[in-house]
Amino acid sequence: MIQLNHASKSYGSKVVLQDICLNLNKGDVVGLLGPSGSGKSTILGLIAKVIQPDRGGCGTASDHIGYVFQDHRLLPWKTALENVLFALEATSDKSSQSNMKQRARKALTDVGLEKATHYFPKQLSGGMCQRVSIARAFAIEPDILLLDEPLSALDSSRRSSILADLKRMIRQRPDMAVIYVTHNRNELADIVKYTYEISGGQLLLADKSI
Amino acid sequence: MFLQTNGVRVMTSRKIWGCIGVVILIIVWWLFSLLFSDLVIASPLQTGVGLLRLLNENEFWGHFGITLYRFVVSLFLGALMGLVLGIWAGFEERVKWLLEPLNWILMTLPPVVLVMVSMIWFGMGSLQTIFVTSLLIFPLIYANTIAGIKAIDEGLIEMAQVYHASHSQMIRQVYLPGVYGPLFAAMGLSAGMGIRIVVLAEVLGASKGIGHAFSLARANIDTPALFAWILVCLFLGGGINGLLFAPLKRHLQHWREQE
Repeated sequence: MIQLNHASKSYGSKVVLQDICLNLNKGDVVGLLGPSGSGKSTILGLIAKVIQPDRGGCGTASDHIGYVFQDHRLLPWKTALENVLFALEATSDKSSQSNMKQRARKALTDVGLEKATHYFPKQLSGGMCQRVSIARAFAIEPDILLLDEPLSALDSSRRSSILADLKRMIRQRPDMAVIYVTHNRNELADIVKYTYEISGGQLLLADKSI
Repeated sequence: MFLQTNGVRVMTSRKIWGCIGVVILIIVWWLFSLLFSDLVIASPLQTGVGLLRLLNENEFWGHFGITLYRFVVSLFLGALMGLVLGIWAGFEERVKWLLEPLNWILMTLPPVVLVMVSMIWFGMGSLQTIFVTSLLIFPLIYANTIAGIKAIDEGLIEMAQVYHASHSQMIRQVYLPGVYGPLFAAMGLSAGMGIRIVVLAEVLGASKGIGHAFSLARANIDTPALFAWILVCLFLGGGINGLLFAPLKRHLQHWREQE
């Protein structure tokens, strides 16, 4: 589903990734740990094709990629429903508008925001915005889900409930390949198959949970 | 938890202070009219009477209509040029560099010089007025559109790329809403600047319109009519802003008010 083949990436003189190899199949859920600036988000950027490797290659079996950023990255001029629809319109094959709206509403209901569909990001709390961002990622029924420290911008009281929802939604889609980037090893408990650690531009297998 | 703040209260307070500002200006105007002769400054009352007299003249609506037409067409053309080229230059640095000399010339050139030149090219009338006004409005819209494009959060653009948003979706749903703020600020300024340039161009090179009526009033030393036409200009500039741009801005940027 995801294949990183000896991929390297540098920013100026700083080597961020060096000769990285990673192979993920359908249903693989892996954690990616590492300090800030170690290149975790760059790996996700390579997979999402918003960053090009300097050397090596990166391939994905599907373009249906859901991405939950550290900051929610909701369009401030769109309501929660419209933000989810934005991703659906961009990725969906010729679905009708009413069908897309139905899917967007269902995704928002799944994250507990059925009553907030018409609110703008400014009117929502940080936790609710991140829930909309999660709904946006799941609404497109992704084959690949990339989670880039999805809880790190939230206070601890909101983290546990969002994490529980996130894990439930991942389990409901057993065919989806997931990479979960985090600082916090505890967030990966009960869900990941492997945990990788990135250090000095190298990807190291840190833990095999199953 | 849905967040709510006091946006409405701020708007009300703004309107009240604006009204107080208008009243102060009228009082200062009235005091100056007491100090000088009627031929130099018409009082607010004389101006009001002059305006009523103008409104009863058949020629008033002819002058008003032609200026309104020139003003609206110039605003539309200037804004369209500024928006299209501003979006293009916002994406493509080479286009920005290419247009920099033209932008600089139009920002620097005194409007009266452009009016003189355009009178030679197009003669007197609507064409030269619209040409000059739209050309001088263009840099304002152009510069603000570029600023709006550059100010769009790169994170939002990356998000749109991750979800494979098409070019059309990017422009309609990411870039255009992102430039509305600076664009409408520039449109508000353009409305004021536009009426000034249209009237200037009409004073120098038109045989109809508010500018021409200004010339006639000055030649006849009809100071109340001169001041009444000033009020008409203010209503025209303010009217376009208040009746067209402000509601449009509110409609397109209602998300900003949902605080």
